[in-house]
Amino acid sequence: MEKPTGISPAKMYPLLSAALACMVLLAGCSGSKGNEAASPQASASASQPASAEASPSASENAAPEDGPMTKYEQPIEVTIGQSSYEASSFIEGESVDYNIHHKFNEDYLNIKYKNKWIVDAAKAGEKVNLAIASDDLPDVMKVSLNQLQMLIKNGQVEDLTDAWAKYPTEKVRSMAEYQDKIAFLPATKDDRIYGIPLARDFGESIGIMYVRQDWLDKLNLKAPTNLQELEEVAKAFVNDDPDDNGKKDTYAIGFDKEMGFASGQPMLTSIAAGFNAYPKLWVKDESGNLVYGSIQPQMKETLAYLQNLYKLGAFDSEFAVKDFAKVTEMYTNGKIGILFGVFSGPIYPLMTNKEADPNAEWAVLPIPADADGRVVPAAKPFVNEWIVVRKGFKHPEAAIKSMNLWAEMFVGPNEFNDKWAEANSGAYSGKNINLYALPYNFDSPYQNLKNGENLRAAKESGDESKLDVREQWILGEKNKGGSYGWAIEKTFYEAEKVLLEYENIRYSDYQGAPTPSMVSKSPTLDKLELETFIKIVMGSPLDEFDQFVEKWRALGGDQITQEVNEAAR
Amino acid sequence: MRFAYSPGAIAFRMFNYGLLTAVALLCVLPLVHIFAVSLSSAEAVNGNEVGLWPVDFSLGAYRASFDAPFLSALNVTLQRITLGTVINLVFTFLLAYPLSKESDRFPYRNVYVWALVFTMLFSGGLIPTYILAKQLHLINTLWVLVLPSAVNVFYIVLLLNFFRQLPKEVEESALIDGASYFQSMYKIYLPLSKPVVATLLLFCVVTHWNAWFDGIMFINDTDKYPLQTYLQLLLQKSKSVLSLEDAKMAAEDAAKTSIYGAKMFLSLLPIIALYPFLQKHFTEGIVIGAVKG
Amino acid sequence: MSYSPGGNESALKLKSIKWKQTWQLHAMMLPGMLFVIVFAYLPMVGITIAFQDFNPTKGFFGSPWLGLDHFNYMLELPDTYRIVKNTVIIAGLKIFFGFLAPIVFALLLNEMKIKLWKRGIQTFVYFPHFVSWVIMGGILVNILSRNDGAVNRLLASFGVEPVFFLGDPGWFRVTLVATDVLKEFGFGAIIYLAALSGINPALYEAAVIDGAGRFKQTLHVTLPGIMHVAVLLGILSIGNILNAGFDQIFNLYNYLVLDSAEIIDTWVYSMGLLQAQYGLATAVGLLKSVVAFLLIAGSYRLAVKLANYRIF
Repeated sequence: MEKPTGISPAKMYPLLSAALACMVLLAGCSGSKGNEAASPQASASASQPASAEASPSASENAAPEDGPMTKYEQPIEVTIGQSSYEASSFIEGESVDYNIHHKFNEDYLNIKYKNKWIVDAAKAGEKVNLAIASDDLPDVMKVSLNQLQMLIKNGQVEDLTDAWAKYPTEKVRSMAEYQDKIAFLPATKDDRIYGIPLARDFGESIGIMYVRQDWLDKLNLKAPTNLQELEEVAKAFVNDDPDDNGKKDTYAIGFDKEMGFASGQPMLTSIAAGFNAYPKLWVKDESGNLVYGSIQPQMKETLAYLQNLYKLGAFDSEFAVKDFAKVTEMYTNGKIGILFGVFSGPIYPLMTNKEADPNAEWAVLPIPADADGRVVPAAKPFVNEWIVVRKGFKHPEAAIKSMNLWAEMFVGPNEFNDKWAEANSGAYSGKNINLYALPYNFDSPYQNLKNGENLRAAKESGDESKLDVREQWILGEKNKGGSYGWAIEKTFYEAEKVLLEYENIRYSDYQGAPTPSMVSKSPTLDKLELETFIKIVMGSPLDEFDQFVEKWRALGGDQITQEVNEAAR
Repeated sequence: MRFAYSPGAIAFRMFNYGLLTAVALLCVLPLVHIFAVSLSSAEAVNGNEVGLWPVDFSLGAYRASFDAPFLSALNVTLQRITLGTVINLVFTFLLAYPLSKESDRFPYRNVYVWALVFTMLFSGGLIPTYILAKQLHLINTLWVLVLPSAVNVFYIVLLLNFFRQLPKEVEESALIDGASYFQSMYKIYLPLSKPVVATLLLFCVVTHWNAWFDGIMFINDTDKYPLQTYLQLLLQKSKSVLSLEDAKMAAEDAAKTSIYGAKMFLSLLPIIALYPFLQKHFTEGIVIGAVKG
Repeated sequence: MSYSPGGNESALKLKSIKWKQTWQLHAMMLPGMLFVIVFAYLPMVGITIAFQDFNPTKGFFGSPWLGLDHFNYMLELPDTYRIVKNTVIIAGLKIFFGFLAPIVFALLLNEMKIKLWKRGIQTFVYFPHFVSWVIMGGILVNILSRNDGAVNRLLASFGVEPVFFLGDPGWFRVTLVATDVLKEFGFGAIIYLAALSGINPALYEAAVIDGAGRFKQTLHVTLPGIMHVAVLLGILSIGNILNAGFDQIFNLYNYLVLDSAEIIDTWVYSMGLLQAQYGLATAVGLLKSVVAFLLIAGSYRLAVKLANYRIF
């Protein structure tokens, strides 16, 4: 039985708050915004530039100490590939070509950002592929894991090792290097760094169970805490008419046609965790070797359980042909009682249900525990995009400086944060302008978690004065009420609490770049995997799982396993 | 006329009308559905309650549809249709006319023809086309949407077949009297080609109207997007909804579904309205065809 | 052949005209051919990607040469046979029915006398062509649902068991072909309708005088009138034998029907998700082009030999 590895939010959190506190103190020391004077920056840069001594030049523009947020002498221009999200996100006079982020970068860093292209976010990946293939890259670009590999292989991007050693502030460093620099692994080749991770909330892939509380109440049931109880509740949701309309038209659990893997929803994984099965993750076995989670015997047990649930009618018998959008419609209509979603679940898809049926109530719970009472949800990497700099660009550190600036803006307290907060509660309220941060938006992996905790503490103590700007804003939204207020409250006061209370989270034990066999064999193997799983759930004999395992190994799985183990050394 | 009144004929006719009407209604259903969605409330649409009839009727979606991005995308498409259709038709004529002559009249015509057919089947693909367009400074301009597709071999083949069906006498006398090929093409063949030109016109317009992929790849400013590119992106929102912002935007999109429906319906209207007008040009037969028999 | 009213003198004059003015024909070809060379032939250099490990920084002529590696990779995959089989079957069915449907429709429509009704139907059937598969897909998932979709409800009223159109591998193919034909036949009929309008009414009158009924008229007047167009479209559509319709299948397929519905294009797409596989995609495209070319050239020759139809 493999031991769960990984980080518990509750444990690492005190360390981070300590780090943040230090940063705040140091920021207080330096006082001013980043400027040419050699005042100690809030950052403790890993290495000081050798040219700390002023150059002999008599002019005022003598090379000052070039720090994480040193303004450039001459304005420099940086082109990026920009994604656009919705035309309505801008205030009067601003646009995707020029907005508050451009102003901040010009005023504080003397960097002018220009969009080499603007493409709708839905198609950005293809546009980037074209740029890579035609070698027509902007100075700075945001890429996916596979695009990153391609760029490194082709030699199209700058080595950022030195820039990263010198320029990031502590804030930015702690976010990008979160979890032991794990996100740098796929961006590293021969010990040189070629991409900077864009951090996201770490909770984005972690499963949380949402259950219709009003259904539980009507049927006099308690919320399920383990798989046995889940089955009981599921049966009741299907057979006992929880929506009180005299028809047997309700389902217990919502699955979509890839069991959540394409839509990113932790459907299969939340139930599998109850069997200590971790599909699609690499786990260490007793001898310390990495093996593939989907072919382990625990997976077979999981599928047997699901097959039983399917027979009981807990799933829509047509789930295999419906994508997540269609499944969402069923939630909206109050046809499904349990959602295995993520922390943002209340906002989407549950909010549409709340709007349609104000009497619906959702309980926010941890996923079901395993036989030993432990709850260990699976998690995907907290980074799936990286910043790269095209080869030959003279100022790779510009991207880092802008990242520093952005981090200062959204994590206070400091003057940037004040200005940013002011803008966000005023003219930019509700416009999601953070999506257009330059060069690209990133978040702190634990921001929402921290916000949730502070908000809950404030509610307990009644003292709201200690809340920072973001938390104040969240509180404001919650107090506005309505379905969005409800969703925000569920997310921060309940979902984040569940996340915080997870003692252990399991990540894949292999987080490096895809190996050559993975690249060539995965498409076939992955299809075989899901096809087998879905068919078994829908009734195919369990022996097919064993046949699948054999086939998987023969068609390249063993090769991949070998490569993964070599790479991990 | 060819009326027949036998019972078999009448039965057939009734069956025919019935069948074709049923099929036609089947074809129009998706459109009725989109129209119904555009007139319904967002909640109803999100709950998948809208069939062929609006639920929670509201005209708000139409009022909200005429926003700047929609109109500018419409404008781009109208421009590309006008420019593109003219260019297409000119090239089609210029190439189909000579190719409709036989090899004795036009040596090497077979070389030309197969050179063109070859391009219908073989292509370098997106990457080299993009690089070429970049070298020619066409990227992000209207020209990149009309020039690469300026010569359409399918249209040329259609037109040249049509020309071939016209009897040679039609221009022989003119040529003997000293007319040039240019004059013959312009003064004789062109007027005779009305039905085919109507067909080609429809194809050109429809092709330019529907094109969306080139908009994404070759245009760099979202405000220069053609209409279908813009609409395609409304529909294809990102599938994974995980971060707070993703979720919020998905929720906002959910509130806008009937607006998207309205935009889609509005974009279908003009092209559908075009067809009946062109129909009457199809039905004008050519008298000359009779001579061929 | 040329008709010479004035006898030899005109024939000679015609000949001299021919030689003097041929330059005009070449001149007409020139602008178009220039465009073709620039926009069609120049980019063909990109076909070399199919044989290389393409590195954008090294370009088409500097990237490492792989020869037929991409092609070998494709052939060695376990799924290749199944995928190609699916593609050919689905595309074949679509070509066959997609060819017949517009013709049958045009002929039937031709029998309609009530002008307004005819125009109405003509207009309606052309609508689905404009609805993208993204939307159509969503609509189809609804109406073809096994549990409560409209089609199954209709079948139930006739006592027929519900059919899992989108989840049963056999029915899925039927669904693909049927919905595609329904979507496209109206638009495809436009050419035939135009051709029908060009048939000389006098020919019909002559047939009636000869005692031909509706059916014989159709056989001897109508069909020959549109034969040329039909052969042209038929030959061109044969070239599509490896294009089974990515958009449609991508929006409708799922893991239950992979066995019978995975086609070359969706497979290339899924390969491309893992890395920007230019080489593979280009190799596949090249293969498709070669097959299409051979088929079209072949059927062109057949048409010339058997029926003296030259479509080019």
